Amino acid sequence: MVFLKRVLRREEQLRMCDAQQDLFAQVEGRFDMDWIDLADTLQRNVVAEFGDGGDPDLALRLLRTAAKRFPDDHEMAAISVYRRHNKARRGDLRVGDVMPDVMLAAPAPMSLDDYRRRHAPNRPMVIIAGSWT
Amino acid sequence: MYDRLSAQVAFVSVYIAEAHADDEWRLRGTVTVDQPKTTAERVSVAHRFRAAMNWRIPLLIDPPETNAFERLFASWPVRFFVVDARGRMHYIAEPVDGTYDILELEERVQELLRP
Repeated sequence: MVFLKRVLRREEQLRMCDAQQDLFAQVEGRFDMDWIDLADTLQRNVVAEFGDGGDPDLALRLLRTAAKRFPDDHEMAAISVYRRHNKARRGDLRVGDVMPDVMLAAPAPMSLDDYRRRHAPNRPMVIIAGSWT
Repeated sequence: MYDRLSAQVAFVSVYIAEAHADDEWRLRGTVTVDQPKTTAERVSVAHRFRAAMNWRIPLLIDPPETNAFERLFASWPVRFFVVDARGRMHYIAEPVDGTYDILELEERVQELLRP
């Protein structure tokens, strides 16, 4: 595990350095590749740097699943930015459920269901959730 | 899609937590934003976004004090939903290989428009 943490720390160091961040910025808006491709390359390079001639794909999987493999090791989970700040999850909402109502802001406080009743009476509504970044 | 279908379908966007806030999951790009901590901060970022991107779809804000929409809809970093005319969830987008199929979204909308 000590070795694995060294590998993860190296990945984190390279991922956050200015040169790598500049590369991420350069692919923004391109359709043929994006930052995930660059992160993949970065991880493969890290695996090669620490590799001992074993199966690189196996090492890559170990790198990517390290925090899940050792769920009680909080230090492991805290090393990588994509573990510390990944909020993605499937959630409990399912097709067929009543749309949950929730208070939203701007231009004035309004519940989502009030918005739907006002702007989509008797017609479907598409909700697009996201952010600028 | 918005231009083609907005007469038959309501569209609304919800501005949720930043995916790559500079003080969290930093990913350098053309915009640098720290994670808003207050509604006023998120409203400010959302207004900048709307102006910069010429975003025309009505925009509501998930208040960062609760992130209530994100908690109920599990929408971070981006997600699409279709609600039918009775207010039930008709489609909840699921990513495949880290991305969404926008054609699938339109297909599921079209299902509700067929007589």
